[in-house]
Amino acid sequence: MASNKSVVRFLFGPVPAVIISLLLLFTLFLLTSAAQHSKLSGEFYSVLLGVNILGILTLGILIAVNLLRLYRQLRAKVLGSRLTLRLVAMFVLLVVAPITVVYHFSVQFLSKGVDSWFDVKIDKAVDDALLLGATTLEAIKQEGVERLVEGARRLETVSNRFEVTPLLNELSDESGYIELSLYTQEGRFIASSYQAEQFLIPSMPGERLLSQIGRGREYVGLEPISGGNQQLRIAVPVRSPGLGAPDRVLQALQLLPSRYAALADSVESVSAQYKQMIFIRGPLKFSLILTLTLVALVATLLAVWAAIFISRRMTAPLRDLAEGTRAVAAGDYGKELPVNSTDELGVLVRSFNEMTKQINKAQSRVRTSQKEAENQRTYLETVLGHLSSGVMSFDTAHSLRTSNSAVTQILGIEFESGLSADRIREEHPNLEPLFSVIEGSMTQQLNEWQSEVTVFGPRGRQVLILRGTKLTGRGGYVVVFDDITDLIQAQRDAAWGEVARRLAHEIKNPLTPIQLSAERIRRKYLGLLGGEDRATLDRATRTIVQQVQSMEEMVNAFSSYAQPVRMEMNEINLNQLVKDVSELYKRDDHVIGFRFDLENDLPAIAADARGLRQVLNNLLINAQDALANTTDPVIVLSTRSVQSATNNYIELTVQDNGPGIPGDLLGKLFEPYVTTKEKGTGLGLAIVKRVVEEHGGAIWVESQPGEGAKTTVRLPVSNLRANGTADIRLTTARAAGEQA
Amino acid sequence: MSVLFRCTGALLSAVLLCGIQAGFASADFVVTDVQARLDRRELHVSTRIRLTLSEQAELAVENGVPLVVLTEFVLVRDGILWNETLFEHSIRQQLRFHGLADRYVVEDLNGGRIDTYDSVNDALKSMGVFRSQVFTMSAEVNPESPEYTLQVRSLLDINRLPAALRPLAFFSPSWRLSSGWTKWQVTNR
Repeated sequence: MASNKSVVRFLFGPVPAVIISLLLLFTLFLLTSAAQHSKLSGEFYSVLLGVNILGILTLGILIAVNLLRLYRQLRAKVLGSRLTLRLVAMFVLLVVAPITVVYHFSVQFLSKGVDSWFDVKIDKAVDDALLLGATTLEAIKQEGVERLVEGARRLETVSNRFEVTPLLNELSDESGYIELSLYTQEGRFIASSYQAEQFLIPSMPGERLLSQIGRGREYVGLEPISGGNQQLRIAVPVRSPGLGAPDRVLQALQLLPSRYAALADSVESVSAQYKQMIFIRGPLKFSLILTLTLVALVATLLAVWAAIFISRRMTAPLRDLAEGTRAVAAGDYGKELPVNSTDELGVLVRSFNEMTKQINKAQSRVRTSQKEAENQRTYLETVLGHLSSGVMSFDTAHSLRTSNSAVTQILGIEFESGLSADRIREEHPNLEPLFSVIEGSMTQQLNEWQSEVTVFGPRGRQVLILRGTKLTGRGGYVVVFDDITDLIQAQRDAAWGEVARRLAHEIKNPLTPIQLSAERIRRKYLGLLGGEDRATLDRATRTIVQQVQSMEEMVNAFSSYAQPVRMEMNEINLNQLVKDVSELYKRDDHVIGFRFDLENDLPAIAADARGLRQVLNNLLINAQDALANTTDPVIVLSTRSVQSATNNYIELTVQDNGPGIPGDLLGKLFEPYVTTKEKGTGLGLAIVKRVVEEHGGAIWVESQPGEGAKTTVRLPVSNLRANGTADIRLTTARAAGEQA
Repeated sequence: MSVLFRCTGALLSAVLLCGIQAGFASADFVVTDVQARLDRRELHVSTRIRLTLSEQAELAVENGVPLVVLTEFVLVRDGILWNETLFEHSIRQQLRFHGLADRYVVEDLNGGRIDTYDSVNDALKSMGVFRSQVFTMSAEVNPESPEYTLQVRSLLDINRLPAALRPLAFFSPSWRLSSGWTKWQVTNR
């Protein structure tokens, strides 16, 4: 296909057109020479004419194909085609107009010029010359006739054939005839006398001659013969000597004297040429105009073709430049244009190539920088991705720009970029504390800020510490947060451990000597004293021993609370657990009423049964205590499953209709040693909170004074560890519960 | 461009006009009889060709334009695939009018023989008759082989016309007088 295309391109390229043009010019030259009586080219006039017409047709086809290509390029809106068309039109106009003018005037000039060659006077002169020649010849003819008539008279008396021939020879010798012959009136040969061998065969008389002789008249005619000579053919009748004998015809051929022959030939030649010229005047005009037309046609076609070729050559660099510009606009900076000339266009193309080269280099540098930036970004993302801290960045419109994987791990949600903080708050209410802080800080345009929030995430209650910084340059904020739930728990465990250790060391250790000392005093002095003193001592030592034992129990309980306990996590049916535990608190007198609002098909949860039983015991004890002075006391136990976008959990509520909890206590109900009861360690709700938190859950109390209290425990559904166990630090349920 | 169109139109019109004129002309060259005989290296030929000029050509002769009639003889041996040319010969005869003598002159351009005639018809009649022409060939033909054909053609030689007349003659069928090739069986001895 490629070779075919190159062949077609070659055929319609400049080389064949140049060859055809040169051939045409050469054949036109030959044609013009032929028109000017050139004998050599005249032999091939028809061929030359045919070649010219064929060449013109071929050139026309080449031009038509080029114009068709140009038209198609125009239709296809190929770059440079319009400019090419304009240049072609301009060149053609510049060339065709003068050719047209020259052609028009040349045709006029030729027509009038050829007509002017022929003049009436010349015509008359030629006719006169011919007449003069004929008149001159007439005298010679008359003389020849008279001489031959004389010879005919001499022959009239001779009828014998054998006598005729010598007489003919004699007459021929006398008059210098080149041939003297005797014929019958019908033209049959009788006898002849000749001087040269080439006249062995007599020149027979023509019909016109015999006819004229038959009418009794002489015949004289001039005849051209070979060698440029001319002869006179003279014939006269020969009367028969005898009565009734037929007449005969005597014919003589006599060379015209050379002086007369030359003059006659000259007159005849000029006359013939002039008549010929008059005759071919019309064809001559046609021939000249035809040649002129062919020349004009070839010149015009060559000009048109040259216009197309030159226009294409001129517009080619511009077309390349336009294509190059398009390529650059499309981002192709590696395009290099061919430099085919050294003129201004060549300089322009070179400048363009230099420009694209520089742009390409700059683009390469930009790409390298982008790649480096991309690498740095990837590195940063990798670092951020492996950070345990959640990192989020927000733009100036408070929309999330980026977040690392730790954010998803901590919050259990994969955020999409572009979400606004408000939208996140709406879609994830459990993250409200976190994003309200972030939103508030950004709204206040704080440069740096730090806060601690608690959210209920996929692992239950989570304590997050977050730090925010306003970004310089592009603006926006970056927020880094950590889940410090485990850390706080560990710190609290450590703190409570230290308290327990100190209690054991600082309080429990002196209790034994105090108790021993009190018992010793009692044993030693109780018997010695009597009356009022004895009673006082007995009461005092008993009080000391009881208080010491009480303190020892309290320290033991606290120590147990602070010590880690290994709990077994199993699937628990919470509804069943609620029913089992509540049975312990139903008394026969039905003083306190129990109502259950337990959801059917409640999903099982993974929990430590003993721990949850302790939670329920403590909550029911607290409710029971709160209802001591209440008329128609009622405890409502309810369970339900709750589903959110990210978490599934179960809520257990214990509600009483007691006096409620004072507002100042609500905020610190779950802290150790906070209680409204006269008796108890104040650790009950603290232990409940710890147990719930160790299960990954949350607990809160809602209460209005005089309207009872409602305690809600929220436990995640799927928090069963892989090994089915969990380390929790919990005092034994009973010990703590009894003290609550 | 309009000039080109005009010239092309004029050219085509001239051709068309000549064609129409030729349509009315009854001029033609016809080879009526050929007798050919082979005798070893000699080819004996007697030919009769009817030469009739067109009105234009006859007028040209009367106005001093010499016409050249070319008569060609080609002896071929018939082959299976192609014919073998054994002998070629051309005879050129010029016909012109001698004004001073008021006669038509026929000149054999090969041999130089000149004959004059009272009328153009006599001249043409004479030009079309070749009696007992003997052509000597370079090689002897096989007398046993019967497959010899003599091709004869007679035509008006346009290239011998005056230069100014040739373009018109080239485009005009009335000047393109030719008998076409005629084939005649050649006898041996």
